[in-house]
Amino acid sequence: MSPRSVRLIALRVIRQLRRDRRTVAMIFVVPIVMVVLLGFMLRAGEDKLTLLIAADDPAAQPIATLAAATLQSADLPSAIQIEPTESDAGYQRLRDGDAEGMLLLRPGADPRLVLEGTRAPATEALTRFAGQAALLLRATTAGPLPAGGPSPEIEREFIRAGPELDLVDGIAPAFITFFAYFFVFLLTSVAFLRERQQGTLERLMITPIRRLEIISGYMLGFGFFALLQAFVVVTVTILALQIHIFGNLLWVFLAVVLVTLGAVNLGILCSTFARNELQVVQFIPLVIVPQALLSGTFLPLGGMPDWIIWLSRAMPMTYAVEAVKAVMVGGSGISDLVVWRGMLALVLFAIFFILVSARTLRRA
Amino acid sequence: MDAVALTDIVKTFGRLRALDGLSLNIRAGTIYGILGSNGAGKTTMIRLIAGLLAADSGEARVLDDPPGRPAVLARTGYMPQTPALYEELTVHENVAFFAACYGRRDPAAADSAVEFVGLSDRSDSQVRTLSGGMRQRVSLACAIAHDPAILLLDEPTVGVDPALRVQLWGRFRDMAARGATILVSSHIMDEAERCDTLGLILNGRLLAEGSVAEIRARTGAADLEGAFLALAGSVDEPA
Ligand SMILES: Nc1ncnc2c1ncn2[C@@H]1O[C@H](COP(=O)(O)OP(=O)(O)O)[C@@H](O)[C@H]1O
Ligand SMILES: [Mg+2]
Repeated sequence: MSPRSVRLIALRVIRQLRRDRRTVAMIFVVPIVMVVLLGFMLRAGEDKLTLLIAADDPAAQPIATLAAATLQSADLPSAIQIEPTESDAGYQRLRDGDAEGMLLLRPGADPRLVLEGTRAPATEALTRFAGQAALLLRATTAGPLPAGGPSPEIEREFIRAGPELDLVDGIAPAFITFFAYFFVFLLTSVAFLRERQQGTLERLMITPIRRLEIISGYMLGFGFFALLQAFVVVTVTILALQIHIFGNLLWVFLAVVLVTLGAVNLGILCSTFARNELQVVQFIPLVIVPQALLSGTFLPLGGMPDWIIWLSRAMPMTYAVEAVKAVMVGGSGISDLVVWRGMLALVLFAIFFILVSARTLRRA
Repeated sequence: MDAVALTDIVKTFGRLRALDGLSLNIRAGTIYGILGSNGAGKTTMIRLIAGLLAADSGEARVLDDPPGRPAVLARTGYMPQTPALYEELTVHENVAFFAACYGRRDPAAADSAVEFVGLSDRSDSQVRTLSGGMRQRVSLACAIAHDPAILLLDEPTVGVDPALRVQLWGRFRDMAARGATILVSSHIMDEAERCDTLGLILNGRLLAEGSVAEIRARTGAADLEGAFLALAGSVDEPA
């Protein structure tokens, strides 16, 4: 080991890297973006759940209001927000995803817990909480609630999904969409970078082929592979992980195709700003991680500050994951708001990226 | 009739004037050789004619239209200085692909272009398995498969062995005889002797233009090499 040789190599590495301004910038920008975003989200990310309290008989509504007040003042150790409501309105709010559960008080019987159902952790937390709440109510509320006797039997009702739903079921939709997005992005950006580097893109640009034809061809070619990949990933997750699918897979594949269209064009766009494969790889944390964090898959966005919600709404993958999840877990179809709104958003994002990437394919 | 007409073309890259008031005309059906040392501006000029670069100022006409018009593009063949090919595709697939981009979907067009460059026996080899000279020839085949009226060849015979080079030049002659206009850049002087007209460029300017005999006569040099050096030496290097 000669220190001089080591120094020689080290100096060359430093000099080379210094000339690659992009890489140097990335070394600082990427961790800063990640750390700040992740920090904010983890801090703000205490999951806020809403439990509605209602009576199944309108005549007993005052009891529900009283029970809600009791629970609110009971200072139960939980981040669950209690709100009294009427049962019809409560069901509607559950269907809208506006609340996660509703405790339905029934004269002369144990309360029934109605759950939105598509989020396994929320279901679990509310079930636990409902047990405590029922005990407390039994001890403090007179009237139609039965006093004494065995510990309350809480019957559960699911609006969507069901008791068999677990954590993996909730995450699988995100994996399927992100795989399609990630691989198509990576494939296109590298393929396009190579088209640029090896000069074939220039060659193509001066044939009578149009820019939109080149882009569409890429979308079709990679869309084919993305669809194939989605088939395999979905089949394997269903068979190996035994995930539960509550909706029609057709909509899942449609979402994957739409994600692919956006990803192809994002790849074309990013390839313009990359001089080599290394620089393409540098885009990965920027185009993947923030979207994964903001998609609501790993950290629920419920209690996040507004700017994080807005940021999340500006990202295509949020809509994709939301729609695929609604189909797979929530059993929704294209006629449901989350699904069609998600698809529409993906179409709009794809059109936007197509227009932008077409602009990067200029002749002179 | 002029197939290519450049008037006072200026093209800068930052502070560098790659083309500095270049004017030249290429008669249809002739072979025009553009000669110049490395960095003289040959590639820049060819890319401009091909429609890949826009001039900062000056006027360019190709087949009576500005370069880059769809009608012009369809009738132009461009062979870049470094072979631009898909490595994973075979020779024939590359040639057929570009021919099809020009609307020639007939496989025979690709076959005859591959034969033209003497690669029929490697037609089904993937390009990544070929030598440098072979790639150069595949790249040439890609430029001619659609029978262009104007053929732009940027140093087409670099890395091609002498026997084949002679053969290729014979074929260029045939194409010109059938009405094609060919612009060839080169820094190889013996190759230049085969052109109808020569243009010598230096620092983006046309130094001299004429037939081989004219240029030799003008400088009194015995060969083109000498003529070129004499002409280049008579120009003051810009500061
Ligand atoms: N894309 C570019 N960016 C910056 N400078 C360039 C670019 N292309 C060419 N040049 C410069 O323009 C000059 C002419 O280049 P070129 O036309 O390739 O010369 P030749 O083909 O005659 O060797 C050279 O000095 C070269 O460095
Ligand atoms: Mg050159």
